[in-house]
Amino acid sequence: MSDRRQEVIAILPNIRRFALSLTGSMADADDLLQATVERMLDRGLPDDAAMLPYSLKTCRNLWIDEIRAQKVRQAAASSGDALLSGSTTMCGEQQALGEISLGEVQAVLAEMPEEQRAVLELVAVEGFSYREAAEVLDIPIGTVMSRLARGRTTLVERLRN
Amino acid sequence: MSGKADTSDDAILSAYLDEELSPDDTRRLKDRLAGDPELARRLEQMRNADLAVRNVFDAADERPFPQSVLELLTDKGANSPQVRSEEGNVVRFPARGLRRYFQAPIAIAASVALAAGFLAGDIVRRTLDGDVGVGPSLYAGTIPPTSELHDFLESGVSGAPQVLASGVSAKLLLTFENRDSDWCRQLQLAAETGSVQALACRRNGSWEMEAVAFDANASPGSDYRAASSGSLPALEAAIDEQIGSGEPLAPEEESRLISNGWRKPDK
Repeated sequence: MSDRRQEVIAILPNIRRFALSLTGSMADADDLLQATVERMLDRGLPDDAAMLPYSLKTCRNLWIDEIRAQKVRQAAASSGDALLSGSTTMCGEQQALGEISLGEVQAVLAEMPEEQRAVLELVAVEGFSYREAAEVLDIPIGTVMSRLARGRTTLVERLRN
Repeated sequence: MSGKADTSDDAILSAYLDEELSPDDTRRLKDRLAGDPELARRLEQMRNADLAVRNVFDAADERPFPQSVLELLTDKGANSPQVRSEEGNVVRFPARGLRRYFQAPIAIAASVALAAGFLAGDIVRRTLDGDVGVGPSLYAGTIPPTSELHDFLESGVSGAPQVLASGVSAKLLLTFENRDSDWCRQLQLAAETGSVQALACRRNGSWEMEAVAFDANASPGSDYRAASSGSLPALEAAIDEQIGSGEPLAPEEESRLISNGWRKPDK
């Protein structure tokens, strides 16, 4: 059978992280992930090299075109299952971060505009280049740069104490 | 603390962090950093902020994937009685009773369920000759005794990587005795589609998969060396559970055991 689906499996974590950066909520990220995978399977999977950017673009387009509006309406009722949930566990490496606690960072990220958070996730977490991030988000490279800088400024300022 | 921070250099520091500055600008910034401790500290704060963000997303990775998503991507998912994810954390590994339940606290836990039923199935499938079906027997946990993987577990030395006939890279990491007095081995398998770590235990002459963890850090197509070094957290949890107060075997103990056909040498 086609093992293109296995390549999707392999990048599920990447797609979900990106979905989390867009939605700001774990539950919504899972929904968006589901919708993304369904959409990709419906439309057919691209060739090898394009799988990751294609999946992220699909994810983003779904979010903007279809899902975000619904989620915004539901937001009032949603409980704390967000990026900022205190229920994530911390392991040794995270604690080595020293004074910055996971909860503090989550709080800052939660309040950050989605557009900054998405760029930050693609570049600082996924390791995309500016060009690649620009491609996925369909924005100019200059915009990638400025959103990143603003996001990082916010983080540094808020985490400095 | 001194007053309001200077954020005017943040844009250039940010681009520098991402290695997106031109060579000239990079050189100029490096010179400035060398002579300006405040600027250097700002850069460091930015670096720490990035690390903090990565940790948030890593923590989010710990959650299992929704079963509905996994089912979309596998043939087995929908109907497999063997691999089930209950309450998100406890992954029931195929067949055989209580001993097979283990708690893999990391979310690769769901990938474990997936990998055990599918991705690892594919990897392990490549190690077999001819038409010895891995699918069913891997799902049942037992590695076919005629397979190359079985031979590898049976006589391979820990630490030495080996490329199996199918092109899969395999390496045994350690050997230990579990609480039930079974011999267990931790191994890494890397194939084009990805990389897993696994724990297999020997019972009645065959090897059974106890746990499989998908290595999310090794991107598909990367070679074996890109796989995570050291144990994946999900595997560590499974090993901790099994090893009790024991210790992994030293190389000479391991080779004695292997040459003795996995019977404990008489003291």
